[in-house]
Amino acid sequence: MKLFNVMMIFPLVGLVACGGKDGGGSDKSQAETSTAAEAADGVYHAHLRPMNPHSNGFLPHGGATFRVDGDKLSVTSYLDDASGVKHRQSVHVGTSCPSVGHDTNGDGMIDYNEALKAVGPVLIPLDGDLSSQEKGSEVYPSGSAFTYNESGFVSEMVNNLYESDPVPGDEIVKLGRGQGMKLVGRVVLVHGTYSSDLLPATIGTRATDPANLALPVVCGVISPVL
Amino acid sequence: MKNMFFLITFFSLPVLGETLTDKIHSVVETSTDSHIVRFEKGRVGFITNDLLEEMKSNTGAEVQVELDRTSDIRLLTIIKSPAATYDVYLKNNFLLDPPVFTPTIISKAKVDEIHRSLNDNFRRLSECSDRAYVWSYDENKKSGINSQKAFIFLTASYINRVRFKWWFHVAPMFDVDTGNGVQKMVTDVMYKDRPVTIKEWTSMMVFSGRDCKMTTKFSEYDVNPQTEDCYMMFDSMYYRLPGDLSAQETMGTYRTEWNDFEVSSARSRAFNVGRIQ
Repeated sequence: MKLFNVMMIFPLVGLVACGGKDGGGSDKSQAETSTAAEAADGVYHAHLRPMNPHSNGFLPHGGATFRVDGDKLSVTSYLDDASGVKHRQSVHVGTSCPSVGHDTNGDGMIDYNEALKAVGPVLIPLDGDLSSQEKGSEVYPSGSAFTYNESGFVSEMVNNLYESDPVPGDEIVKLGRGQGMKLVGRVVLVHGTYSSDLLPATIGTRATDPANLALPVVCGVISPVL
Repeated sequence: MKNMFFLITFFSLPVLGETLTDKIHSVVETSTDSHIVRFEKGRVGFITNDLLEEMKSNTGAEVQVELDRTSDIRLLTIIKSPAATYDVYLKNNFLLDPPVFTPTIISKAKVDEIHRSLNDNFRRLSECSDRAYVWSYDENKKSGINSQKAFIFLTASYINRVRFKWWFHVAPMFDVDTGNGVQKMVTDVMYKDRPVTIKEWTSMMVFSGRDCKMTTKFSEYDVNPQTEDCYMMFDSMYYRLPGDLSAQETMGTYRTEWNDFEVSSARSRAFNVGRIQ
């Protein structure tokens, strides 16, 4: 499905590119200006704190660090928990993590759908390819103590983020004009716990994913490292 | 070099979880076939009847265990005998009369500022006791503020019921003038993004929502049968581990000052040098 989307939007890249090196950006100063506006050089970090710890009796903790150096973005994230499962992780457009009040069905867990109402849709999947929302899809780290390292070009990411949305209305959104990638203040959400009888049958999930894999386990807001 | 006395293989199943190196603090016998091994730094593991006596005999030993995903102990390696670790424990304590400790009362704005300024460059899998000790020390040395430690102890019945992975947790606690009285607030930077009330802090670990019973004696928690879900103890900022609290009763020792060696070693265990990079 995602590969199909990539094929559909590929011809658009050159048309909507805003100065990235691969987007027909022969004007170097324009590319630099665009990149700086989207993500200034520096180090940004989100402490990833526990959500739904009663899903497995563990207090997980993690971190996500974003380093911007010119056009290069490097992302390192980690999670220490007790669940050796795949951990979907993404940067969301929202600015705060879910709170108890977001458990709208009152089952004691803030599930995938309830969490997305708080943190908004996905902007940057932290998957197998940072440069594109579509490439690298579903390639997420696994394990009870994972470390994820990935890097990409800000210009490529920006180009991709301003393309038209291949699947409007789904959980992943593109940017509107002038919105900017703006890492600071955005939310990082990581999902996935092992299946157990501690999970209520009422928890919502993502598409056809097993509910335990979609359950948010840590969340944090990105801030600059001073 | 490790003094490996013996190796016990409990099961032949493949190990799927994690490896833990720590001292066995105590073994809690329950009414079921699932007994709880409490490790000194806070984690728990579960054993069955057939291993109970053997594990009890190794209380105080430094061990390496492999836990499966539900914290059942699959493999145990004795690194240091109980006698050897007990000797070290005695040397690290000091005898004093019961002290009086008065926490400083600070404003809400100040506790928010403290929370933001505490070192957040902790190491992965650092221990709560080390983090809390260093955070309290750093704030005390910087501003002169006397804080306390909030200890929560999860009972065996609760741990068994929800398969919780720790038997205690600790964090710095401050007396905060809310304008409507003094309220105790916990600054647990690793798990909370702001100072929180005792109730909000314990709710993170006590999923039943029950209040934790306050006690001034560790022994009140450390008995069977346990009808509560959790107990809480407050003590001065100088305390680090549950063993420090129980030593008040068992050995008459109280902590009234910083132990510079402990601060230094806790810092190196719990925090990276410099800022997040």
